[in-house]
Amino acid sequence: MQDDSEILEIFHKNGEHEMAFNLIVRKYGKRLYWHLRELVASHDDADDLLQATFIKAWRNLPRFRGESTLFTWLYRIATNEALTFLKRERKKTKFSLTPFEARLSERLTSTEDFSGDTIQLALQKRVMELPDKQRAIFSLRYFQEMEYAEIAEITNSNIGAVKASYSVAYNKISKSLKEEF
Amino acid sequence: MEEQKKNRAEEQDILERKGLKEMPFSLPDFYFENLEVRIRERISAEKTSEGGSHFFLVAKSYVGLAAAFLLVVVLGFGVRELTKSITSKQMAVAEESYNTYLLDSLERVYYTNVLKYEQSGQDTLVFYNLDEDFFNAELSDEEREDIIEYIEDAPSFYSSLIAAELGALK
Repeated sequence: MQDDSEILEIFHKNGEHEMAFNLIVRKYGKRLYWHLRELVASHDDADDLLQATFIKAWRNLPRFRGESTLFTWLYRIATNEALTFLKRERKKTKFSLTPFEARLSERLTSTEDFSGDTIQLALQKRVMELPDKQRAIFSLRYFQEMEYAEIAEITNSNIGAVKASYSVAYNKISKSLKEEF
Repeated sequence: MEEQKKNRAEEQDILERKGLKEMPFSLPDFYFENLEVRIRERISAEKTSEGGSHFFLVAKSYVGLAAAFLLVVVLGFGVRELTKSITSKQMAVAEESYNTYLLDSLERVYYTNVLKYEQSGQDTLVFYNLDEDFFNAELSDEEREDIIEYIEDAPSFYSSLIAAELGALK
């Protein structure tokens, strides 16, 4: 698989925009999808947000000059798309009796898409109960195993805040799971 | 201290269990296979709809602008006309009632009392001079003052009464 600089060279120098874009989608599609799925729970929403992320990337790629890496840039777009989506959804259910976090949690088991065991389900439910930005940080660190510096860049935070947020989320989930299992 | 660290490590271990980091969700078959094709299709579709929607957006903004302008003109004209008509109506009513009142008073005074005046040899000129046309004419405050003065000067009890009525109406 080509590295980012090669892909960008294809895009900028060779002018083969579509080819470069296809390479980006193939390289990052899966990882971004799972990141989004962790944030919004349902496949349909994750799919929609993934497409929106790549469309934004396609439109802004001509102006991308590599101030950040392509990898963190894409994750940043995806995370922002998801957080905006969640904010919008939360507003829609503002007056609902069921809290939005509980709705997200329900999504995990409302379809036949869930294929894990009980502890995986419990973990996913605890993750869904986290505040949106903290969930993004937890997901990027725990599931995607990213460096704190990368997460800080993606979530527009400083490294200290990311570490603290992750630590709080990790301990909270860990404690809760230990009580249950 | 050591025990605390050990306990904390044990608590955290549950999240380090094998397989927990794997995504426990299934996906539609071949979902990633044609992802770029679907994205490109969506980009094309959005371009087409944007072309249309751009025209409608521009058209909409112009129509909106025109409608707003029209509304301002209509409202401005309406308010002006309404104010104008209310003012002129009020003025007309005020003028009419004022004049009618004066005339009625004078007529009442005249018809009920003029004969008495004539019979007793008193000056009745004041009543004849204040005819309908005179009162229907638009009078300035100054002119009304003159009339009042004139009536007051007249050697008549009724003319004083009329002058008092005119003064009250001023």
